Amino acid sequence: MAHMPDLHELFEEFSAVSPGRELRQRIVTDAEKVLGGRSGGRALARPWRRRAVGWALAAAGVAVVLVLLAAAAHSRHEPNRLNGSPPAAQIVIVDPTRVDGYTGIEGGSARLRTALKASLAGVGHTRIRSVTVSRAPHTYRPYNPHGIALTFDYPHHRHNSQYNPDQGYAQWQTGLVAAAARDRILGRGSETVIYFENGLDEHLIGVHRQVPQRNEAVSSRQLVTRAQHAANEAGIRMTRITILHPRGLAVAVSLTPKNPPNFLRHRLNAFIENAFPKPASPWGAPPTPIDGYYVELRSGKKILAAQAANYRTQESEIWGIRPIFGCFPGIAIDLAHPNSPLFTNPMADGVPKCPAN
Amino acid sequence: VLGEERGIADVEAIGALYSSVGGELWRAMLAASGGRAEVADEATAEAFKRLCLHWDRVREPRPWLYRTAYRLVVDELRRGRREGVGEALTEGGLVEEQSLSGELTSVLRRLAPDQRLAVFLVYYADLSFSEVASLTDSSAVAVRIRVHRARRRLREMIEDGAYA
Repeated sequence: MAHMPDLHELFEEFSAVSPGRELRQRIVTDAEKVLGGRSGGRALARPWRRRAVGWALAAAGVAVVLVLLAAAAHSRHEPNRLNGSPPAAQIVIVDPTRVDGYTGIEGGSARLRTALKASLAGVGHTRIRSVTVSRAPHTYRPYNPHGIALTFDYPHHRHNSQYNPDQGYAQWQTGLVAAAARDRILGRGSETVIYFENGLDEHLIGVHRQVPQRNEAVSSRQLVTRAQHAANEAGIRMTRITILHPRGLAVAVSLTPKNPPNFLRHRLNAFIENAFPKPASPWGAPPTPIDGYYVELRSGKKILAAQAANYRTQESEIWGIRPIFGCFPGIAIDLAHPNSPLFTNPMADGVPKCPAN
Repeated sequence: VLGEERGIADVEAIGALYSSVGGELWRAMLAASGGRAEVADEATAEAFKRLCLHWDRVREPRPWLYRTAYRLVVDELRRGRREGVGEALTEGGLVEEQSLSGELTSVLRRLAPDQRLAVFLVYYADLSFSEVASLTDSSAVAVRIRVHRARRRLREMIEDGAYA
């Protein structure tokens, strides 16, 4: 009798085949044609347009020279501390006005949908697929009959989520979006109470009503400088920094420590302390200088661990692969407010002992 | 993830994107097309070209590429059927470069394109139903149904003796 083939084994054959080199070459050639022609395309055939492009290029050239001269002058006053150090971090500053997202929004009033759309645009690239607005279930505590729930859909592991740092960034973004949307509608005088759920354990993770506020105490550039300085002090390479703008500003950084367990255990808290502005008073009391932060430790493309905080929802979270999860020293000092809904101490949950001394 | 944030489109960025997702995309299209390497090549190249054109508007390139390339594969297969090439393809007669074994090709070609893509992503790429759904602009339930039907079809093939 024939048996059902094991599809895993059957499809293993795909590992032995790969696209030819000519495909890559073709794609690169196509990209050169398309992107190279983007500034003009067929319109370049028109003389006046050619002249305009020429003037624009000349102006851009002059601007580049001026910027270089300014940079050179600046470097005379301030020695370049990065000489001999690893390449500078990639800096991404999300401009909400230029983000055209694909995250679906289902349900909700026009006002709330507008608030959600603006908040989603502020987090830039995201794996959040959709946000569903519904009336808050009776199971939510404290229950509010006028409350509404925001349910976020994004790729995540439901079980042992703390051991899957890959989902941390999107999960952090759900809180940023929820809080920003809430603040936006509260700012318009709405009394709506918003709950939000990111589907991890199918339970409520936040009930909040705060005084809406704008967080404009610091600029994007200041946040970048501060994080870079903290990375230099910690002797760690920051490969990327993203400034998000859900309503206030939020910061996400990628670090590549040489010894992740050791960094996690001994220097992560100090880095966080130095890199991100803290609220003037403990959790929840406005104003908060930023909406939140996210730090991930990477080894190549793999995310080993991440820690995030959302000042606007008073939540913090950690994720880490199991072998080093025990290296989290606990929560940062600035998060340890008795009223904050803190995660349980991972050291008490039977997590493997940290391999670092 | 954070690392997927994109800047301004340039050839280097497209090259890097191809390095990271090109191989898996091509294999997925090879599966979706039933082992037709030419169709997979064409769909992958055309999807990347369209990505260059729409770079500013594409938020998540990976699912966008999957959806675009898959649509191109389906269009190509339909076109092939209209022009009477489908039968020959099914027989393997017009496939110039047979990159997969006859056994695997035979299995794949007894499934619908959406089923092929779904089982490939689930059983080769080890993606969850919801992850496949996000790549194929579908729902997790729909993906589950596709995989279920594909497995049922395979079982029927075994019972009919069509699969050795």
